[in-house]
Amino acid sequence: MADRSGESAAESGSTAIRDVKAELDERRIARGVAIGLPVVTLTFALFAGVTVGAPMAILVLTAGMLLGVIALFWASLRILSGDAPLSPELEALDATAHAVDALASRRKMLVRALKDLDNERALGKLDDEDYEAISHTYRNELKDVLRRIDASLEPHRPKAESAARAHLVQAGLAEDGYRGPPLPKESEPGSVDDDDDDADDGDDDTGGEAGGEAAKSPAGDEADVRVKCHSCATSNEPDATFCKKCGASLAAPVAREAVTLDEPIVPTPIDAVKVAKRANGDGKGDDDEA
Amino acid sequence: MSNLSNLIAKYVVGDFPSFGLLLLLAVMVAASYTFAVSLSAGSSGRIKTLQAARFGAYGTVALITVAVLCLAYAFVSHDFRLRYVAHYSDRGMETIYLLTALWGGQDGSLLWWLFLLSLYIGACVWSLGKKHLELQPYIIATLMSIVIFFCVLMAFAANPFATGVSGARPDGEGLNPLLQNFYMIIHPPSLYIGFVGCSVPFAYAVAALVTGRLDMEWIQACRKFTLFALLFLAVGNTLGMLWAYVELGWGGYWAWDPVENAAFMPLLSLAAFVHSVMIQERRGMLKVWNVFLICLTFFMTIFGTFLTRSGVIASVHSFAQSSIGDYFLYFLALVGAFCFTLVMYRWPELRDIKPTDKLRRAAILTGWITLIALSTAWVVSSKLAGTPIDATSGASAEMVADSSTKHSLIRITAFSVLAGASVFAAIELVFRRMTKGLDLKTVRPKFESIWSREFTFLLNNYGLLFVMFFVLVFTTFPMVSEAFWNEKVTVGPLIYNAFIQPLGLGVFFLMGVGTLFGWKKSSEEQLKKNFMIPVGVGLAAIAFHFALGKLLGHPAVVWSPPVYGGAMGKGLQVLNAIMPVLGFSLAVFNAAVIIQEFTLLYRSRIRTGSEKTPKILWYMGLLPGFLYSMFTLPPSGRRRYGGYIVHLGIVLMFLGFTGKSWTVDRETTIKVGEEYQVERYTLKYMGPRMEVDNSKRMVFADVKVFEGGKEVGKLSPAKFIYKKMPDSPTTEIATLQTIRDDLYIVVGSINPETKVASLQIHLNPLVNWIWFGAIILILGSIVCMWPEFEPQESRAWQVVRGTGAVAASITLGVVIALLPVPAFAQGNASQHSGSVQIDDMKEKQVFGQLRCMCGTCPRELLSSCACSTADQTRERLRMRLARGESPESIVDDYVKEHGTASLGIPPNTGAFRAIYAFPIVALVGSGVGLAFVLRRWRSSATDSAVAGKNESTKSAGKKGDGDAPSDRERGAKRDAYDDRIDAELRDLDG
Repeated sequence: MADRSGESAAESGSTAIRDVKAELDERRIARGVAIGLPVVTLTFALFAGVTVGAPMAILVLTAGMLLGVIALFWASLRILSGDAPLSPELEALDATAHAVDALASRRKMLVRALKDLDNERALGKLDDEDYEAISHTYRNELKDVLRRIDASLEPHRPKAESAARAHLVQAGLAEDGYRGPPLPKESEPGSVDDDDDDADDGDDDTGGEAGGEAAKSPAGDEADVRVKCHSCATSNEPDATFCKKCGASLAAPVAREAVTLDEPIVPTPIDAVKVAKRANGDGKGDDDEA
Repeated sequence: MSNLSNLIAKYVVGDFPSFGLLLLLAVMVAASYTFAVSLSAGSSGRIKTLQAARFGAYGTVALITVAVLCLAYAFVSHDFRLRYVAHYSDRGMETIYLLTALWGGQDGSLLWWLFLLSLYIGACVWSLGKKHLELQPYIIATLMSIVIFFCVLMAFAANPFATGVSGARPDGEGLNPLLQNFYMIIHPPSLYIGFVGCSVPFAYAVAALVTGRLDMEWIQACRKFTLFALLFLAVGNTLGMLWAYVELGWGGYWAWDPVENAAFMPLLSLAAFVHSVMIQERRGMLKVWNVFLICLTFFMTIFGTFLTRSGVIASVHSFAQSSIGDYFLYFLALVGAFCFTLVMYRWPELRDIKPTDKLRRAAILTGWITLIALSTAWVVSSKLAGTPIDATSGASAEMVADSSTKHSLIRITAFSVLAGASVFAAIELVFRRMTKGLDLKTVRPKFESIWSREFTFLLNNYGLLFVMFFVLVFTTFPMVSEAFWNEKVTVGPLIYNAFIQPLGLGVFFLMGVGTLFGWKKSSEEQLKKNFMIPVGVGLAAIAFHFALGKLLGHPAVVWSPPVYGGAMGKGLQVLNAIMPVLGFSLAVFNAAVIIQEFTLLYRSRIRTGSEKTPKILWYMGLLPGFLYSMFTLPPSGRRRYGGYIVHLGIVLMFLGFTGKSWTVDRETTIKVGEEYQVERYTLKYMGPRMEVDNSKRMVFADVKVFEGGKEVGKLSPAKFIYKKMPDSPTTEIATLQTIRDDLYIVVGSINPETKVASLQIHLNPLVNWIWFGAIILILGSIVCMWPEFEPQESRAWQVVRGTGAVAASITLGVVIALLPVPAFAQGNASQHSGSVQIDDMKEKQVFGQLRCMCGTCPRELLSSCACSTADQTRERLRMRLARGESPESIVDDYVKEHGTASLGIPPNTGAFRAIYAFPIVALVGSGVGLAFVLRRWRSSATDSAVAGKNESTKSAGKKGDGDAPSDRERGAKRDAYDDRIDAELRDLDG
């Protein structure tokens, strides 16, 4: 019995392997046809046009196109019927409707408005007084919107945290069970990508929030294993051999400090030095050099 | 070897015509399949279904291409079984013209439209890729439904694959030689590309409405397509102008022909759209307006197609009349109803109100009730007013017009009352009742100041749309007049020029003014400073023009006969008289504005250190460096300055249009060796010359051109007598083009014995600036549409871009500049157009108002028709003038004899006054409405401005002793969010 089930398991296993192979084959064929058919048709058409004449060339093109039509509708029907495989990226895409993110679009509009004001001032159409007055209003509104965005992300934070930690463990940057400092309140997933409101792809939001935060945090957590120079106390990269400020050799046994982050970090493009400085108590608040 | 293809045709594709029809039906099936699958994908959200729909779309595209290729094959292999092929081609035509004959007639041009649409669908689906997954299904569905419409059209009304009744012929009829020229190869395709391109933004808008995603997403997603369609509408119209100028031989380039107008109107509404979306982008306002504009543009493209193909309006371009008009009407009604319902359904989202089902239902119901009530009011008011006197009962035009006035007045009054009542009832009884208890406060965006670009863009929309509205009313007036008052009228170029010129210059003025304002608000001081130079230069140009204009042959004020009698006619006459000086000075003003903008840009870039163009590109000549800096601007900046380059192109085109006021038209008969003086040119007629080729006999008249004693060129206008059409020889013009003007010669006839030639000579000032301006416009559009690259570009890529900029600027200029050159070698026909020398002001007035009634030319005036009937008529009327009769009585008698349609423009009597009264009332009314809307926005603006000022003075006013404490105060006001915002601003656009 065990043998038979083992056999059937092996069978189903081999069926599965055959399925996967068939899938790969089919995708390879599809790719081949997608590239090969137009190339072959065009070549033949050119050849026919040169040797026989324009009518023949058009006939060849027509025939090739007709084959293309058949191939495309074949593909369409196969996908529809569920038999044909989709490429992995497509499978991964979540096509369920994403609600219109009113806050995000409002944020984009306000950032664009502030940028406009900067531009107009640079071009000399807006004097400083008007600029201050108007940008003040927009800034306040933008801050309000940012606060609301952060508040809406609050409940997702623990999930993102654990995902990030798991990723770090996997990457070997933190030991298993390492709890790390609590992540700052103002981290913003996905903020890296959605400034490109002028580019035509806006699908960065479809990646999901966890991924974004996971992408963010390793950078922040990397600060945990930075090397502190024993002569000037500057925080250096983990793999540095010489201090970047004073040049002293870092090869000397130096404590790999687990930098504690007890002040909230501004989650802009992480300026690691600044982060480390603040962690070491150098910072005087957030209004020094931006 | 061509026998091989014939063999294949005979055996493999036995019944080719049926195969073609089968293909069309197959396209219908494929499109329906894709339509169904995409709707399913939209509702289920499954990516697999969407992928299937995408493949279906690609398949439909390929199938349409197969159909077109089959028709092309039929042409190239001379398959005269097909009626269409037999009608438009013959065995003697070259391959390139065989292919262009594909779009020469009604049926084939519909298939060509479908083909271009399929290319757009392919490009659209491909560019959508994995983006905008929520919109994709509905975009595909909308595009497929348009495909289905055209298939239905072709399958049932205009089948290009239909066979001729008499079977296969030995040879076809051949393409009208008028169409066998270079421009036939490029003008229809480029215009169609523009027309068809409007379907794509429309599809995006419909998808946005259906899914409710009405913020910036759909606008940004289809931006490239919108700009592309706009570019090709502009290019298509310009090529049409060039074709008319070079081929039709009447010395002008725009005749306000209904087909020309049909191509012009979508251009205007799409241009308005491109500007008003910028307001939505920055403020979230005008959502309903933008959706309305794009639906209007699409509607106009279909409507324009309907106008030109259904034969309701006579035109030079007319296709054969058929029942095809009915299909278009039904489709238009369907599109209109569909868009209306969608907008009503999404009304809450469009107005930023929280949507509820109750609100939606209320909006849709109110909208439809209002519409139905208005239609009922229309019908009822017509019945109340009674019918006007039937024109065929022998009543004079005046009597008809007078009774029509009474009829119209009653009708308008009754309709206004009923309409007002029905709107009131709909809103009060239906809407208010249904939305009781709902919170209808909209989140109205704030508006800082009306001295802002937002305000001027609104004015731009107002101006552009009213130019479109005037053109629409004038174009459809003959239709309206025949339907309502049973009177045929002609709406000639005179009335268009009289009204549209001032409007156009108004919009032109706004173009410059709007550029000077900044977004959000322009500070008063800065504004004054920015206005100084351009206004100063503009005023200087006026002075310069008045002072030196006459000397240079281009006077500032040019009087022409009044279009109407009476006060309004006088007013219009004065307005039209100052067009030259206004046009010139506004062009100078606009140019100064644009140059100033670029100066400000470079100054600010150097100041902030972002000017990184390699110096070598500047030293190579300004253009490569300029192009490089343009292409490396951040995207929004690039679009802005690309837009300015487009405006510069428009400025040059307007300069060219202004030149029209100073055209010199002469006609003369000249003996061999004789000389004739036209302004600064001396023309010497050297004699005729004849040449023969396969298809035609060519008779040239060689003319040497001298300027100041030196020979500057040799022109050879000709008449081509085609073997196929020996009775209608075609005219070939010859031109001498300089920056200043064009010397344009047409030969009327050459006496074979005496060798005496009759020549028509035009001197067209500044006309080449139009074509040059169009090239600049294309360049500006390319700058706007250039794709964005990743911010982390390698240095090598920047070098590549710089090289590309150099290469592009050179190639583009050279290639397009060469375009007009081949035109000389083309033969062409005008029907009877040309020009006739009329010196006398009175004669001008009479001949300019009356149409030639010879029956063959659709709208030629006596002042420009060169046929024999016109000659005789002119002689008769000249004699009457000589006898002392007044122009008015001559005109009246002529109208009595030939009917109202013989007037070049509708008479200024009775109901016909509606042609200008209606648009002017609309113009003023909407102006008042706009003022009210602005007042509402302004009050919210002053509130917010006051609040803003208070805030900033509050924070600044906390000054302690010295600066440091206030800095700290201000610093204390800055928090983590400020840094975050600053960093985002830095990253935005780099």
